[in-house]
Amino acid sequence: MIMKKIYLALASVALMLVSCSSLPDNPQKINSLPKIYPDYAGVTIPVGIAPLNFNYAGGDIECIDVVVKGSKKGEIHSNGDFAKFDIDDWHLLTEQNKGGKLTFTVCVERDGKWSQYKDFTMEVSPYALDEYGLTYRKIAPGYEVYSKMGIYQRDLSNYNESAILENTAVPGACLNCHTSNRTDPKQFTFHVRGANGATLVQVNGKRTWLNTKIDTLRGLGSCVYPYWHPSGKYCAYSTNNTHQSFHCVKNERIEVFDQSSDLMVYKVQTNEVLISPLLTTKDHFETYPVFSPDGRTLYFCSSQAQVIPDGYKKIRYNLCKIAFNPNNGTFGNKVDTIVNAAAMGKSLIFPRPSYDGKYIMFTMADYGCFPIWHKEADLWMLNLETGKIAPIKEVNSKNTESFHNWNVNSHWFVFSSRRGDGLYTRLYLASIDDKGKVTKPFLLPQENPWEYYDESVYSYNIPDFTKIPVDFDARSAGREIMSDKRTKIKVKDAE
Amino acid sequence: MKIFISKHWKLILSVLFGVTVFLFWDVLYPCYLSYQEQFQLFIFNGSYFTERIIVPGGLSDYIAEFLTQFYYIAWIGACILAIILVLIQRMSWIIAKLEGAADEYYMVSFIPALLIWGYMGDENVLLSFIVACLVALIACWGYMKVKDQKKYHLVYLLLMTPSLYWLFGPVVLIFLCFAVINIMIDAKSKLTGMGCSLCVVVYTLGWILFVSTFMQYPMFRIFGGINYYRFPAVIPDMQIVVMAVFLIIPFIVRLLPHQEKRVVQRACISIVIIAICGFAGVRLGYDTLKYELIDYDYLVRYEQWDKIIEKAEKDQPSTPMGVASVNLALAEKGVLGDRMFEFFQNGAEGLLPPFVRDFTTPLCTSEAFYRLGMINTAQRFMFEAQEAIPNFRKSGRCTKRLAETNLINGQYGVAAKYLRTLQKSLFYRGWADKMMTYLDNEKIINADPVYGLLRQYRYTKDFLYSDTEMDQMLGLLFAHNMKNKMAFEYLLGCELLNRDLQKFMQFYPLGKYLDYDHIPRSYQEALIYTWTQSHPNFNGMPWSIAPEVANDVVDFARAYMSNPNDPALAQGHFGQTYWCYYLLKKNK
Repeated sequence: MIMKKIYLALASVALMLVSCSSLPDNPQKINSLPKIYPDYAGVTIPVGIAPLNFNYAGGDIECIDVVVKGSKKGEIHSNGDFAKFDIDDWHLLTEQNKGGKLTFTVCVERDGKWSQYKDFTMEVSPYALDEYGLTYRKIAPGYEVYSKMGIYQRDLSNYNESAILENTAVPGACLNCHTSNRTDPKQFTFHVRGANGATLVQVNGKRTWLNTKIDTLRGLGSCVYPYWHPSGKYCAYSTNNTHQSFHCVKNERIEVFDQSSDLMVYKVQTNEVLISPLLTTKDHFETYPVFSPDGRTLYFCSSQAQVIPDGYKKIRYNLCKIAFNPNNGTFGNKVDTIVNAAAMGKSLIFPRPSYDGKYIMFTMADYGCFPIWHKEADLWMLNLETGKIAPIKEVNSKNTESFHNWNVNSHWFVFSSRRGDGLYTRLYLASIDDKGKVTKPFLLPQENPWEYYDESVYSYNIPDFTKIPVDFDARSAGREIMSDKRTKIKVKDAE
Repeated sequence: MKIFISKHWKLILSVLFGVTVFLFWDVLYPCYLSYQEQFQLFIFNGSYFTERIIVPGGLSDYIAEFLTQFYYIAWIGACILAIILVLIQRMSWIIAKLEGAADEYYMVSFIPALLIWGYMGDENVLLSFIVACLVALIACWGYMKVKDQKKYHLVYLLLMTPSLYWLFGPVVLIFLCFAVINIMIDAKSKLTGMGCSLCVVVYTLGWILFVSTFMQYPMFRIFGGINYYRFPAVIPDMQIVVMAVFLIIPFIVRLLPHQEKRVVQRACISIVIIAICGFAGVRLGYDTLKYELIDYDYLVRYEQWDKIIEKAEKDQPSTPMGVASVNLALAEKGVLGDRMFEFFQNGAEGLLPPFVRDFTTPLCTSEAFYRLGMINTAQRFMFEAQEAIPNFRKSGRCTKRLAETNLINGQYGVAAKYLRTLQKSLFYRGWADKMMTYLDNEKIINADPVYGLLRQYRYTKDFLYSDTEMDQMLGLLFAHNMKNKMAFEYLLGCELLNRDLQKFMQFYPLGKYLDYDHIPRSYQEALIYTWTQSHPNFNGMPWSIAPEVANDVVDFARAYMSNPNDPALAQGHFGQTYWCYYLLKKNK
């Protein structure tokens, strides 16, 4: 990482020496918005976010000049091959204009002549995004085989990304499902697949590697799709018998389905998994458990079991809930269906309650449990006060919108989308105000976004916010994974 | 002439060595060059360089990958390898000479180069290791130049050790051991020597351990090389042997006795011995079966269908990949139905082998799927092959094919991404520039003789791929477009190879939609066999069976009835018939 920074710094100096540096001179006015990549016109950003640099996407140019004026105060300027803003200047500008807007005046030089486009604006949200950054997995959007991959963290105030754990540390391993407790990585879990499989639970720096094969006779296998209880005493997991199949027509690629799935709640202190017969039924597939913010309800997705693969298009998950008593780790005695997506001809996946208790955001697809491969998948929201559900049209596109997570103040969320090219998943952030109004999402900023995203051969999975940098000893973890020393989990059935 | 030879005999030997190496790869093993080139994609941009240089050994990787891209043109690749091996040999000699070696032992300096040449027979040995070893020799030579100058000696060690490790990887251990041995030899006292050596060792190991704290690699790779070998979980024993030989050869030569008498005889004997041993060693390093497969992949890549068939005629392949390559070549030449049973067949998997999680086997199968028009499956196999490359590199060949499949499928955003990547390479740039004009241009694509045709062949009605129902998928493919001759031949081939004559008879009539001017031989054999199971003679047979086929089936039947275990039935002419496959080979 350090060496990379040194090389990038040297490269930046070299680039500065060769970049354009002429200023707009009597530009011809064009009454349309500039074509830019990413499309940042009209987005809402938090104070302190990394500069939303952008590239001109309307053809070849010699130079782009951008002046950014705050509605309240301040002005910054960029001139070069692409719009690139000084990080400190940008942060100051956003701070000075919190609750206001930034106006962008874009001029481009083409064949020695300057043109000036119509101004566009970005809103600076009054809502803070205090989290340090994001965590996510990067992996190629492949089928069964994976190349280099890892779990990474990214500082949202700049462009720094660092590896939490890469599979170079553990040759052959697949890493997935990293989850913090309400963005606090002091409680952290993820799953390792492969010959040295295990589930990591890290609490305050202490790592426990759980034996993934819990009780194969009862069909309790690997612990995946985790979600922490707000108290930190429990973590809900799903155990899934997952398979893939492959489409043969041009617009489809992969179909992922579970042939069975059940839920369990892991109790950290005692290394037990708590099982309820209502969550391990044979005639339903239960998956994607999440706790309510008060920890007294376990939400999950449930579908009528179907014969797979013949009935794969009939798999439709509903949003259900069951009571949970965190004091004694017991479950309620009935399951309620909150959203009957199946009746709508849809499948509801990845429910995520906002931490303020107002909403549950989820992904809706035509069928199935793995919507990233479904173009029609969109983000929807359930208002827990009114009980109404609706698609979040501000963030949905003609392509896939899928996995998402909230920040702690529940005014920001990050989600994955394939709107760019239909295959490589990218991350977008959007805000929601007190009235439930959602803003236009913006693509995760990069220093040179066009170059970065075009050259990147990875998709982003399982994005989540992280309150502070994740402190993880990758070298020791790699050794521990290879050592095969595992903690056995006991199964405790509900009384 | 004699004076010239006696004056320049060493140089002449080196040149001869270089020419031999060149011919070895250009004439005998161009497939090796193609194999290495296709599993990387050298990109001319800053991020590619940065990505390499941020790990130990990165500059070695970068230089090696830069050079490997030129293997795209076989003779250039052969030239590069010849130059590198000659440089290794010459550097070995220069160092040995500085250590006091006598000229008559010049041939010993060929041992490191010969050893590495043999080691390269393992196709997963990367050029990065070879380049790194050469640089280590240069570093050792530099050390010899400065070791008598105290000031420069120390500075050289201080600077060379960390730089060599960071830029070229654990070959620094060759340099370290070389320096230590020289320190011990040159030290005024044993204690001084040991003290200095210990300092150098601690300094080197300390630097490596310090670097390891920034790296997410296990320790064995930090010390064994991150990209010297294509498989990350393996440090081959031979790598250590090669490094050891690089180190000790100069010292061994130094120890060999020098006498004024019979210098020429000793030199000649050493030439003969080392040449014979070198030849044997190199020969052993290149496994015949492995290189047969690499050669088939190479020939499939470059669509050398005639050469594939010629190769199989000389020595029939029996591996799934080899058999699949031959069947593909036969189909491409329009003779699959006529000739498939002239070659070894191992069931329907010989047409379209099931997916295997490696980076070579899916390539050939992908080529077959692509030509059939099963574009999604071709895309999947090619994507998986690329993802399976163990050292996480991308592949020019795979990226090119993925650009094509996405173009055919109208996934222009993804196709454009791959094309832009290829535009930053040297040998794929021209093709990518041309293909950029195809993006979003339905007219050009549909008019293209390859892409347009494949668009017509591919499925339009969705279903899930099932490798246990290959014949049904091929049937659907043919039903979708009855001009897809390859689909028809693969369908019938599938049923014949599965020994399912009922299905063969069911699908055979569909051949009327194709432009056959005769019934392919193996179909005639299957038809006449089916007829004979329910008819006493050939009267009323509805197909145009050639008289020789009719005669052959009578002869075969006669021989089979008299002795079903007669070995003659599996040999010669009978051995190349469908009847032999159907009746005899199922028991094996």
